Amino acid sequence: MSTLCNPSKKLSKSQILVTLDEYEPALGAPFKVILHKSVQQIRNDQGDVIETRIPNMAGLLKTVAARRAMCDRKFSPADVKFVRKALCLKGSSLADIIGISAEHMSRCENGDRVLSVSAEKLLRVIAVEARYDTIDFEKSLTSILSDSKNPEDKSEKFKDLILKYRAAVSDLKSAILSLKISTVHSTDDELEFVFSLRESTKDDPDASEAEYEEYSEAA
Amino acid sequence: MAEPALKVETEFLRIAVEALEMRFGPDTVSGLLSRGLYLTDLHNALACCEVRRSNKLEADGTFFEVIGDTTEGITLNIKVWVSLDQRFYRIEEVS
Repeated sequence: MSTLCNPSKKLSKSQILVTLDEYEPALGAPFKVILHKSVQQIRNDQGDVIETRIPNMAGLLKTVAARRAMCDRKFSPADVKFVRKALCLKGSSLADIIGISAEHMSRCENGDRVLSVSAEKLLRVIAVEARYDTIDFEKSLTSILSDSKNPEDKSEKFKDLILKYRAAVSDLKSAILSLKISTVHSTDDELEFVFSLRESTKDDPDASEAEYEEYSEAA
Repeated sequence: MAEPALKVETEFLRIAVEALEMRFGPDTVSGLLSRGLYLTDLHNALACCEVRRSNKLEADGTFFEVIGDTTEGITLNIKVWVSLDQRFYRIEEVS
């Protein structure tokens, strides 16, 4: 059990706050998820971890599910279960949404049956939609119009919002129209996804605005 | 008899969980893993939890004692602290 009695207390002299280059959160995903320079930990002078800080866990889960949904490799039973859980849905609820019985859903998650291509595509579209559903475009636009006094700042925020909107439309179009599900892959080839906080939200004092995106070293 | 859910506090906590930074100690993860659960399950239990008790602590946040079910139907009792500035919530205990 934790011993901190008041989490808002400042660090003691023997504690340090570090930003981790890489952190693998225990999400229970059947593939590797790495967070790049997104997670902070408080450690004592022996290096023991006192506290881990993950910004916007709900947003992270949806981003991970959406990224897996955009990857063409066919969902394994564990993928189906993880994506469902990342969307915070019970098996019976998801079964209702994609039009199959709860029993069939359960069998697909246990590996006794396989989701049909159409059901899997629908699940993927739901995952992608859920990721962008967390971005409230209307609220963001209102906020930009009312808050930004500096014209350059306003312009940057507009550009950023337009990019996000384009990404949402593009990903949804791909998930619906062009994503082919591939059943051929090497079993040794483990999927790995690396995410980082969006540059524009990284140092935002309002942690609720933290957003994840796929990390690439070139960026 | 179980204490009744506090509606306003429940709504407040669910909103906090959907947006804020999650903070937790090492025992939280090891406790979850020992039961075959993950941070995803903990998040889901919080996202549809009911607050049973809350206590204002000093001037900087509030403790909540909540009960929540994972999407797999496992009930978790969770003590969670939400900072008053609404920047983070901290998992204090999961059982």
